[in-house]
Amino acid sequence: MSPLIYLAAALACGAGAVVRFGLSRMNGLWKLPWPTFGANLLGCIALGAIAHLALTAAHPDELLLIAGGGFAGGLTTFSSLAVDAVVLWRGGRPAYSISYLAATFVGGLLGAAFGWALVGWL
Amino acid sequence: MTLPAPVQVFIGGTVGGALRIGLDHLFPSGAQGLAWDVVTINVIGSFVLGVVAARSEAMGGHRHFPLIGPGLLGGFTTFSAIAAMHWTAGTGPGLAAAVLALNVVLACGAAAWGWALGARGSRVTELVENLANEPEGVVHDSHLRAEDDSANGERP
Repeated sequence: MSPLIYLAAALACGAGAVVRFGLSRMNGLWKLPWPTFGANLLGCIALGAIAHLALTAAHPDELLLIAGGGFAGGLTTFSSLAVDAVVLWRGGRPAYSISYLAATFVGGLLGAAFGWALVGWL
Repeated sequence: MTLPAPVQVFIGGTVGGALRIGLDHLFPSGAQGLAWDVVTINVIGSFVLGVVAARSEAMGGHRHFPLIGPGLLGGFTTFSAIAAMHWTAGTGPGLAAAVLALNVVLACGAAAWGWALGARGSRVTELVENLANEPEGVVHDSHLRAEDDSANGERP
C-alpha cells in the first residue's frame, strides 16, 4: 500500500463519513434511526458492487482500498448502530432496538448480495 | 473556534479511516478471510462512542461531538466490511452472517457498558463539584476534630 493510496483511502473515508452525517441530519423524524440504517445499507450495496467490479478492474487492490475500505467503510458505521440501539433500549423501547438491529443485520447482508448481483446484471 | 459540523466530520472521518485502514494493513485477515481486527475495531469504537455520547448528553451536548462521534468513531468503525465479507474475502455465507451477528452483540454490549461508565462518570464529576463547592465545611470539621483531640490531650 503506497502512502498516496493510503491517504486517498483515508480521505475517501472522510467523504463517506460526511455523506453519512448529511443523512443523519434527518434523524429524529422517525421512531427508528432510519438515516443510519440507510447509510449502512447503501455502503453494503456499494461494497458488494465494488468487490464484483474488482474482479475485472485494472487496479483491483486500489479500488478495494479507496472505494471499498475508504468510502464504503466511512459511509457505514458500527458505533452509531450500537449506540442507537442502546439509546432505544434505555429509552424503554427494547422491541424497537431489536427490530432496528435485525433490520440492519438483514439489510446489510442482502444489500451486499444485491450490490454484487447488480454488477452482474449491468 | 468551532469548525462547522461537516468539516469536523470530514477531519474526524479521515483520521478514523486512516487508523482503521492502517490497523487492517498491519493485521491481515485470519482463516477464511475473517476480519477479526475489524470486529475488534468495531467493538472498541462502539464502547468509546457509548462513553462519549453518554457524557455529551449529560453535559447538554459538546461542540466537538461531530468530530469525535460521527467523524472519528464513525470512520474508525465500519459495518460494510463485515456485512460484505462473503463477497470481498470469500468467507462462507453462514460463517460471515454468524460473525456479523457476533459483532452486533459484542458492539451493543460494549456500547451499553460504555454508556453506563460515561453516565456514571458525570455523576462522579458532579460529586467532585459539590465537594469543591463546600471545602470550608470539610476543613472546618476536621479542624474541630483536631481541636477536640488537643483538648482531650490537655485535659488529664
